[in-house]
Amino acid sequence: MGERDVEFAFIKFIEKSINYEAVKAIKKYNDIKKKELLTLDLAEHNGNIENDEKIIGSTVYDNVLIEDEIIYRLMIAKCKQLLDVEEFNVVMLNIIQDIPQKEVAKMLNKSQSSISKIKKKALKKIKKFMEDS
Amino acid sequence: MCKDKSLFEIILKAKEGDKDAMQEIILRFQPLIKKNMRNIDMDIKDDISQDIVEVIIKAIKKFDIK
Repeated sequence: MGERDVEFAFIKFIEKSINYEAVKAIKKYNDIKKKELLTLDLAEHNGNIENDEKIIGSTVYDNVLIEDEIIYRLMIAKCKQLLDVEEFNVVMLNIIQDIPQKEVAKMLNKSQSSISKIKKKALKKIKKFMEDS
Repeated sequence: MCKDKSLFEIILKAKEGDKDAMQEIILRFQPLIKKNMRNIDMDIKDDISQDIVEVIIKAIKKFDIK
């Protein structure tokens, strides 16, 4: 086999593996997502995450330093104090848990643009607080 | 380092276990990975592309040059 044949065969081979793996991975992650959605539907959370301490408390932090954990909790407590309930929910879901705005909008029964507005307002408040202190 | 070499040379090097060559192959296949990631949600995109990079590395080892 010449060099070009080998290159061609290699590209085909990699392409096939990538396509196969992509399909497999998408299926796998979609399955995981479905499972997570079911847990979100628990009566305990009900779409709003006021009881975030519970969520944080149930997470196991093996390799996170205790200092980080304390800073994280202080930060959330400060946010809660600073923001309205609505703004706090959006910040928690969209920024800290990194859920896309569309999904957050669905969860809170609002349009995406209003989520964007609320987020902007909340970030402004936090920025102002940080500049003052 | 491996930038201007042909794919064939890079494959040979990568099969010997050269890390730079391996990286170069992954870089060259990046557009294909992106193409496969087109319709996927943002939050799992990184995870899946990571899995795919792993598969490429395994595939390089498995591929035999006759």
